[in-house]
Amino acid sequence: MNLRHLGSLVLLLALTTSSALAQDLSLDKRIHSFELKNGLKVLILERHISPTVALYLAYRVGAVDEQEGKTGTAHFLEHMMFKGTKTIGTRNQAKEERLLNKILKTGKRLDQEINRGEKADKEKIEALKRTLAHLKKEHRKWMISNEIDRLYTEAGAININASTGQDITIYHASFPANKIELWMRVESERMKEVVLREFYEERNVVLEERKQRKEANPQGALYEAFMSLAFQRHHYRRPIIGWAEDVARLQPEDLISFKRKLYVPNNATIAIVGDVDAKKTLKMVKTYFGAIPRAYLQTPPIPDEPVLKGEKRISLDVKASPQIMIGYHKPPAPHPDDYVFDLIESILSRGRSARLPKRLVDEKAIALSVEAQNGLPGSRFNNLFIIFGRPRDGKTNAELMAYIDEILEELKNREIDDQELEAAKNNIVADFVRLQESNEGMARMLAYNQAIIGDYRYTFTYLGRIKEITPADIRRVAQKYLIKNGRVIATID
Amino acid sequence: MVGMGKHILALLLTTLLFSTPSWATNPWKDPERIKYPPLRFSPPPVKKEKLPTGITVFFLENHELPIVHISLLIRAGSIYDPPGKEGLAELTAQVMRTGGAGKWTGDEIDVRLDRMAAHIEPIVRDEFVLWRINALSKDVKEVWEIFQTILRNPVLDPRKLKTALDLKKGELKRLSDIPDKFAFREFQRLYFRGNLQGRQPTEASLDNISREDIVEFHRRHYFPENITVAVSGAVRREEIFSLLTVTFTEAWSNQPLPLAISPPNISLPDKPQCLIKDTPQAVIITGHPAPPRLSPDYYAFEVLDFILGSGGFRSRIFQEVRTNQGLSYATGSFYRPKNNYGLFGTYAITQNKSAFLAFSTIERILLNIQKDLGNKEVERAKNAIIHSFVFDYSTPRQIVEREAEAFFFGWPDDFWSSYIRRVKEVSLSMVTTVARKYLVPHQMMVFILGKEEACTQFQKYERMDRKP
Repeated sequence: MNLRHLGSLVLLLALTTSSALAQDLSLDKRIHSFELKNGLKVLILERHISPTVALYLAYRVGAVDEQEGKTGTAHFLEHMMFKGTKTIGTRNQAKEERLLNKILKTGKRLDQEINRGEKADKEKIEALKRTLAHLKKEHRKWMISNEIDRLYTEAGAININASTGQDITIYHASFPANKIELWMRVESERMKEVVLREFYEERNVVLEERKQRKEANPQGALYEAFMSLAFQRHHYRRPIIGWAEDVARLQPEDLISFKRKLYVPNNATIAIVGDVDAKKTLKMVKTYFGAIPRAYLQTPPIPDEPVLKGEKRISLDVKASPQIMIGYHKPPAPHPDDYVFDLIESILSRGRSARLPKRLVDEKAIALSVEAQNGLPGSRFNNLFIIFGRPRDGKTNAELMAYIDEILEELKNREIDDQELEAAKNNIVADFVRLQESNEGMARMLAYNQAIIGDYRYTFTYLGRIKEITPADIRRVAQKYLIKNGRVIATID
Repeated sequence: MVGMGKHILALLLTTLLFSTPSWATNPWKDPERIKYPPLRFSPPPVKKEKLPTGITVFFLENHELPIVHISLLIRAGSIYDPPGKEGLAELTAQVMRTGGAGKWTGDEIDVRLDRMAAHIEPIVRDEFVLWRINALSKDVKEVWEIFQTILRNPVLDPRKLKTALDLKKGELKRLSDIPDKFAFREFQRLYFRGNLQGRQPTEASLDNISREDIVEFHRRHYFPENITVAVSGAVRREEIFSLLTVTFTEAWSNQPLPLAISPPNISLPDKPQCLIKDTPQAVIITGHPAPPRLSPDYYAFEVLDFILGSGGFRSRIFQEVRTNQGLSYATGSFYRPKNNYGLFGTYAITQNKSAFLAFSTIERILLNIQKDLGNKEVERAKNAIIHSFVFDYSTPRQIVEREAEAFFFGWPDDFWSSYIRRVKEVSLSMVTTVARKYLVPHQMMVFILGKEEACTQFQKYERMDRKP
């Protein structure tokens, strides 16, 4: 997710358009920003184009905050957050509670037996499976499955979903403007506590998701191998969805403990964009979220990544067409050089006339596709500038890479001309305007910048920094970071 | 100590799962009892006007952001590919965009558009091409000038055609890398085999396409009578209409063609169709003929599809295959209504060893819904469809494109304005009736992509109800 730089473009637009237009786009003045006593940040933007509202709840927590051996916790918890609460999803809380505890005990014993591997007692496993199936059947009598989604869907909500990243977890939905109270009611209760119904079934779903994204999909497999090579010690080396072996062993208490430490109001941001009255909406937020106590944030220590002397390569043995990823280590936002990388990304791959597609897809006919992306896999720690490429039929990754190197060398050796620089900046501007067209785009951007950068206004100040970037800055940054020392290359050949 | 350990664990779990925090003073009110204010919903009126050449323009002015969208729906989709030249419609659109126009080369156009950060891109579908143009308001005149030259006087540079052909062939070669994408393509080909809708570009069909074919396709499909226009954003009516009038006023030489598309003649194979591929997961897709969009059954079938598998977590397929059985991450249903035919499908991506289990679960759901559907489930689905309707009117571009789409396909003038009323009229018996009418077991195609292990599970498959 590379939204933060999109946020910086309002000002740039002001530079390239009339002053009247710039005034129209001063959205920062229209944003109502509050912090509740418990530390919850609330951002509200009134927009009255249609009677709809985008609601985003971002927790500054992700896969990077997991303990070793517990990878996949953040993402699995995100799935489980849809399983209901104490009051939503139950027909009889007391009966459910008794059964759930039996299910979890039996499930744990089953896991323990299975994890003994060849020494496992097969009869015991079968017996435990039968017991578990029986308990689950009983439990179904007292629970109401998928009730949160049912409530939201029937109210007319769309885009009901959540996403887990290395740095952040975002829950979002768009509601008809008259029904946002339902969102407040549900989200506040699940911020406080969630009931882990259907835990073992959902763990299987996550393992299927992993297969679909990482094992059946060569691009997913390559990305995973690339990141685990790029970072030796830092948690960014681990896949967000988790290693299959870790996920298969996760227990309910792992998720609950993770949630208690980090799903707290002082680690969360709510962004609301759409047809609302800011004052009334804030009152509603206070009513529902105000009583949730703040907590001391506990995250495991995250080791620094040592500086690597040399280059790292991996060739993945996967039956698929060739593709390549090339990564360079760099600092994250708001480091001054990160802004420059956003522009380099634009110069290299935004628009049909950008250097990578123009030269390698069109002129040299060496690539099927090639693009650059700044800021992966996250933005809370030092991250990567990555080039993704797919060679044409009959061409190799090595040939494609030689051309990519040539283009990167040009960035170091020759200053970019004004016209190309202007196009690169303008492309970022226009993307920003397009993003603002939807309530969802705007809400996501505000929530992300507040949660990750720590200030939603980053969206509106960053632009001045972009404006100041000169051709010499681009050359300097390219010379400093786009170097073979520390470079990471992963291929399917 | 072991026993104690167990008790501690049980206690811990109890605490973790059901503890009531001391600060929780206010019991949560039942979400069903929340009182909502009425929704104020009056979509801004879209202006519908005709240019002198007969082109219809849908227009909505909105100045919140300094951006203009122009969308053109053109009867130039892939269904019009001549036999043996599948891929022609797509290549025509691509090379119009990249191969230069008037006095400009394609590269010059790219540089000019990128400098203005404007987009001109075609999206090629089966029955139409949607050209989307967007630009900052200050650039709209210059961007439209480029686009209208692309539309009327494309150069179709042979070098750019070669690039487009190579890229398309490269993508085709890589199709099987992504099993689910590959499976849906093969499903479409098999379901519609022998019909226009089942044709797909292949390396051989692409090799048959010459520049002359592109010139001819452009001549036959890109002319005013084949085009519907939608404009929205920060532009005054007078300004945009004067631009459009200059483009479309002069009569182009082409004459309208009889472009009605016959409904496909579907003849489904009796046995499940399997494509063996060494992949960690099997993809199972089913297909049934379903009501066309203009059929009286359309609204009831929308509700049925929602209940079966497109209506979120609680829809029957998702609930059973994913939530209850944990078999699949991606599962559900889809309904594609066209003017004179429709397709209803279901899908599940699951482990090879679970392929038949996932399929038979879905098959049972399709049969059971004909018997056990209740009023509450129907009303909930209707509520969801009706309440979310407002999201089709979220942005000015969405609003004008919807109106343009309805006009382009010849749907009744009140198609969208009567939509909510028509959904409200759907009753339990109507949904049950369409379920029985369309979800007929012997009119279902079953397609599996997966390992041999997955396919062999279907060898003894007999339809649950073989009675016609």
